[in-house]
Amino acid sequence: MVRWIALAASIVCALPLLPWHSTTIVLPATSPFVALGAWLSGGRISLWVVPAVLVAAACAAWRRLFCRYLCPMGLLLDCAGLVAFRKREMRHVPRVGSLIALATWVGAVFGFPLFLWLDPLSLFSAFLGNRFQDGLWLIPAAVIGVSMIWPRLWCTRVCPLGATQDLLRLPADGLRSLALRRKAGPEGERPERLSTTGLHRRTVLAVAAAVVAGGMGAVLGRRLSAASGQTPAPLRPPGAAGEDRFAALCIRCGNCLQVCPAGILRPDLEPGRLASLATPLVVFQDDYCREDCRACTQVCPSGAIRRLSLADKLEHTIGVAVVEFDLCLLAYNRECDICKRVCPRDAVTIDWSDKEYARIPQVDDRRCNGCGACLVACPGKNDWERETDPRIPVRKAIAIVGTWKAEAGEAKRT
Amino acid sequence: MAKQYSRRDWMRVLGSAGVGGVAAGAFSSGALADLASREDAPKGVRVDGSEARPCTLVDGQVVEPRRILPRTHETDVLVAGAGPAGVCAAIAAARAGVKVTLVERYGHFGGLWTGGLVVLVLGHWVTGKKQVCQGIGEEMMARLEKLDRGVVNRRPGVNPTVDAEALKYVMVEMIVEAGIDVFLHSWVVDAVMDGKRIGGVVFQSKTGRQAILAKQVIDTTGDGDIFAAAGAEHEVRPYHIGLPYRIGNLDRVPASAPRGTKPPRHLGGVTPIAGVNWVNMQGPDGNGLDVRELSRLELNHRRQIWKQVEELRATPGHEDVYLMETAPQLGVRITRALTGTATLTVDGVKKSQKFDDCVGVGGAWQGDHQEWQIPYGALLPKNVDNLLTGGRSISSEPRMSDLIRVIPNCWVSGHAAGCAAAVAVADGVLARDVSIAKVRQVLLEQKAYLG
Repeated sequence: MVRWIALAASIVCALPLLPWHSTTIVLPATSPFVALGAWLSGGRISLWVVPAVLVAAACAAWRRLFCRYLCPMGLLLDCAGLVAFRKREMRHVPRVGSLIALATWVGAVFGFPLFLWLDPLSLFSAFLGNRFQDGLWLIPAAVIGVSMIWPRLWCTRVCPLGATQDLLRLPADGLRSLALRRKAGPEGERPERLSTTGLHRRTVLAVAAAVVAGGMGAVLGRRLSAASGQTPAPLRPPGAAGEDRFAALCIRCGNCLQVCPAGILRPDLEPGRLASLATPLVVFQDDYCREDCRACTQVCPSGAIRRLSLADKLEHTIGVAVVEFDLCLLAYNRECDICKRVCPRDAVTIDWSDKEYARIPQVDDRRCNGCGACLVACPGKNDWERETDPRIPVRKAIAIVGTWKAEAGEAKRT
Repeated sequence: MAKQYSRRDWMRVLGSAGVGGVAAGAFSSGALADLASREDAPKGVRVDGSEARPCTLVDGQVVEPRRILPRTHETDVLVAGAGPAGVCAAIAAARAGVKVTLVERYGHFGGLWTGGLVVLVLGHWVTGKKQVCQGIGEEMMARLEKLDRGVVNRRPGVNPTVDAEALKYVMVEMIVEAGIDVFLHSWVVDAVMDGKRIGGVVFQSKTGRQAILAKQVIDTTGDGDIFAAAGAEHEVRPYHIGLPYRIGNLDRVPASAPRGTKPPRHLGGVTPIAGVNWVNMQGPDGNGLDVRELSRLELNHRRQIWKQVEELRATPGHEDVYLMETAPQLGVRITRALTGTATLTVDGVKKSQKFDDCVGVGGAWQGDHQEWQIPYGALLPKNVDNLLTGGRSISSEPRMSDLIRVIPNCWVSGHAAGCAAAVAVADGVLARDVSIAKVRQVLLEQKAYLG
């Protein structure tokens, strides 16, 4: 019963059925796995860490409390297990969950939390919240599909959040085993469940995993920072962490994609950028980052996007507008000032150039926050290029170019 | 060995030259006589110059003599400036049954629409391709459509381009049909005030300085020359000043131009005439009321236009393109804006602000926003009576300049001013006390759109 209520509440929060977008943050924020991973990656601690700490404390006291009573993904998978068409034995499947969790945290310390995106709550959010757009639902769907063949495989063997709860129980278990040992005396039979070989094997595995994870985390983390400055930075939502850490902090829950009223946040599906796969990118096509909205900054559970007030959000840049005058209508003696008119920040001026004998749009990059209003409105396009080769992407006289920033704070205007 | 000329040969050459010379002399003296005897030679009238009353230098200062101006003419409604707003105002008032006089500084009607070669009609429709600028302006467009090569691209949701000459002709026809008195080549130079009330205008022409008295005056000079002279509160705005031109022979540019190449920059846009394009120019910001500035810009622009055409001609395939004409009138976009009893704002436009005294509805450049109402108060000066303005000089905040100044919105405010002046004359009231209901009724009868 409690589980059904929890599932219903989770669906209400994740869809969200309530009028506040912010509820989408509730679910992933209860995960101690995410909270620890994000903190180790250098994420900011916000008030939303409280649910995760509470859950962690509860799980330290009661074994797998979250799995048993609260986890909506677990119930979903159990339901999938009920309709399983082909149940398989899984006696020989190892418990990789704790390895995944440990690898993620160690990786986080070294630069990239490897499997943070496997958090079941963010998978649940991604599955429901995005209404099957953008392919973010594929991984959760795969998890559900696997449960239809091997019921409970995910929950007992793979789930890093489940494993986190086991790990949280370790101190309590250790105390209990000590107590048992003391009661049984030095010659007493060892309790079966805590064989030294088992512990030993687990330790060895954990250490090996830690080394591998640290290495991979470092490699991926370095790839993120190495990309800095070479090409224009990808366009991230306002308040996003620095590009060197953004892909690491993002748990791919899809909350920001879902809440964006303009629909300009799209998951990064570029095959060349594996480390940032499925992270949110700003794509200006039909709309721009509205000056009256800060929705994406309110729903990030991992701190990849900072919580910002509206005024602060306006000061955080997505990129900066750059003019290609050869495509501008003004270069062709036409009347246009739409970029200047639509700019919510009065960052565009159109100044006379004696050399071109025309007026040229100029962007004050101290004012521009890259919201893309000018780009979306701009009528100047490279139609003539595309006439011969339609594969050439549409380019406008104004583009938003990403700027590399190491830390979210630096993107703020002073 | 060279041919030797004999004496006889020499005599023959010299003799024939002499005969030829005499014959030529005889012919030219005959032509002179002929010209002097022509019947239609101009017959001069002697002027002894004693009536001239020039300005005089007094202590280094130029002093204009005090003089009584001839009262050339009296009328009900005087419209100064025959641009899109003035023509609509004059026709509207005449059709409403009052006596109308139109004074224009150039030799043609249409203002910048024709003389400025601003032949692209921007801004008469709004979202949903709905045309909101109607009335007399729309009637001109409909008449142009009936003419061969009068207008092109006239369909919903597109900005049409007119032929300036066809439009000048259409305007002449409509103004003559409406029975309007016309003074061309006449610069309005001053207001005639009777206390707070305007009683007419002074205009300057080759005839000299004359006055026209009127019951109502409509200032559609664009520059607000009359309301400025009458002492009405207003604002002066510098804005872009350009010089459009037309180029020909574009039909000789091979259609099979290499694809994928960047189009030439100064190709301009189509006109109703095949092979002829019009090329706009934005130009730098300048004070359109400063004659030195206007002169400097005119010189710069003409040099630049020639350069642009040469640049175009250097583009492969465009070798035969030539400069047909530059606009006779410099493209001054905004100068004076009245401070009326109501003022239009961009925020109001965005919010589709409604006015009780709405006398017109304006459109968007590319149908990119909703329709917006023009209040009668935007045409009405605060402190001068019986004077209305129409066109680009109506009361608006600076950011409204681009919406106010486009041609169809000038039709609308001009049309409203004309109807209001006619109603004021008919009812014998001040322009500010006119019955808005009656004005709206006359406007609707004349097929204006009021929302």
